[in-house]
Amino acid sequence: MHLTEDQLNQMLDGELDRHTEATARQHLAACARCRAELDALRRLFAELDALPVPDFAIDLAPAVIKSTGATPQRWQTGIWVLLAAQIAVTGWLLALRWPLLALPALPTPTAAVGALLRWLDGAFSAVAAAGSLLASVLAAPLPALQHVASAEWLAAVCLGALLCLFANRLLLRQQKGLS
Amino acid sequence: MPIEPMPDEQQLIALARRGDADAYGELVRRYQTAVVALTYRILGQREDALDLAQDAFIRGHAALGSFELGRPFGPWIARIAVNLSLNSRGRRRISSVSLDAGGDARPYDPPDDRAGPDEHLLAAEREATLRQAIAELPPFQRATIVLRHYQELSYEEIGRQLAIPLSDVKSHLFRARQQLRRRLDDQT
Repeated sequence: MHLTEDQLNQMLDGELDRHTEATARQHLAACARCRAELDALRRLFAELDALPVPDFAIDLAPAVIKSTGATPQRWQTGIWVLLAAQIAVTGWLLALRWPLLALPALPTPTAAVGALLRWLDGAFSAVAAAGSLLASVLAAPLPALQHVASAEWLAAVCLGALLCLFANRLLLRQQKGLS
Repeated sequence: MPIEPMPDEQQLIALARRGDADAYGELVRRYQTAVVALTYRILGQREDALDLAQDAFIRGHAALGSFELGRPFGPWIARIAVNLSLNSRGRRRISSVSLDAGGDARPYDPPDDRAGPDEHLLAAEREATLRQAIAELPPFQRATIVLRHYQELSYEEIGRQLAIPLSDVKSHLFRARQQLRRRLDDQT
C-alpha cells in the first residue's frame, strides 16, 4: 500500500500528526516509488518558493490617505485649538451676560443639591474667567460684567458662531474619514 | 537632539483609530510591500495588484474600528487583501502573457555564475511557465498556494483566512499543486 498524494502533501507541509508521519517515513524508507513522488513534490515546492516578486518600489500611503479623507496630524492640532477657542468664547459670552444669568438665591432642599449648585457656580465662574483671560490676551476690550454694549455683544456672538461653524466643519470632515 | 523612537504598531493603530492620518500612513508604508506582493501573487498583474492593495488599505482604514487591539496588523490587512483579490478576480481579466510584462517593475534576477546561457534560458522559461500556471488556477486554488507558500500559513490559518473548511483547504491546495506539476511536466 503506497502513500497517497494527500499524505505526501501534508507531510511536506508539516501537517501530519507525529504517529502518521513516523509510519509514512518508515514506508518511504522501503518504497522507491513513494520516494520519487515525494521528491517530485519537493521540487515543485522549491520552484514555488524560489519564484521572485518584482520590486514595485511604490508608496501607496499618500493615495490611501487622500482616499480615506483622514485628517493629517496638523489638522488634529488645529481642531483642538479651535475647540479651546470655542470654549473660551463661550465663557466670554457667558461672562458678558452673567448678571442676567446669575441664579437667584433659592432655598436649597438638601445639602447635596446645595453642594452641586455651589460646584456648578464655581465651574461656571472658572469658564467665565478663562473667557475673560482669552479676551484680554487677544487685546479685545474686556467689558465690565455689569454693563454690556450691544455692539460688543453682537461681535462676540458673531465670532463664536464663526468659530463654531468652522470647527464643526473640520470635526465632520474628520468623522467622515473615520467612518 | 534626541531621536524620537518609532511608535510601535499598536500605538500607530490606536492613533489611526483616532483619525491620525500620519499614523495610518506609517502603517501603510510598513505593510505595503507585503500586501502588494500578496495581491500580485493572486492577481498576476501589476496594475491590478497595486489597485487592490490600495483598496485593501482604504477598506482597512474604514474597518479599523472593528480591529481588535493587541493583535498583529499584518495578517488582518492580508486577510482583507486576499478577500478583495478573490472577489475581484471574476471582474478582472487575467493576463495570458508573462506576469511581469509591460510594467516598470524590476523582476528579481539573482546572479548565478555557475549557470551558462542555456541554463539561464531554461530556468527563465520554467519560471514563466510556473507563473502562467499559477495565473490560470481557479481563485481558491491560487489563494491556497499563495497563502501556504508565500504567507507560510498552516491549513487551519488558511481556512480561517478564506472562511472555508479544512477539507476544502486541502482539496484546493492539493489540486493546485497537481495542476502546477502537470504544467511543469508538460514543458520538460
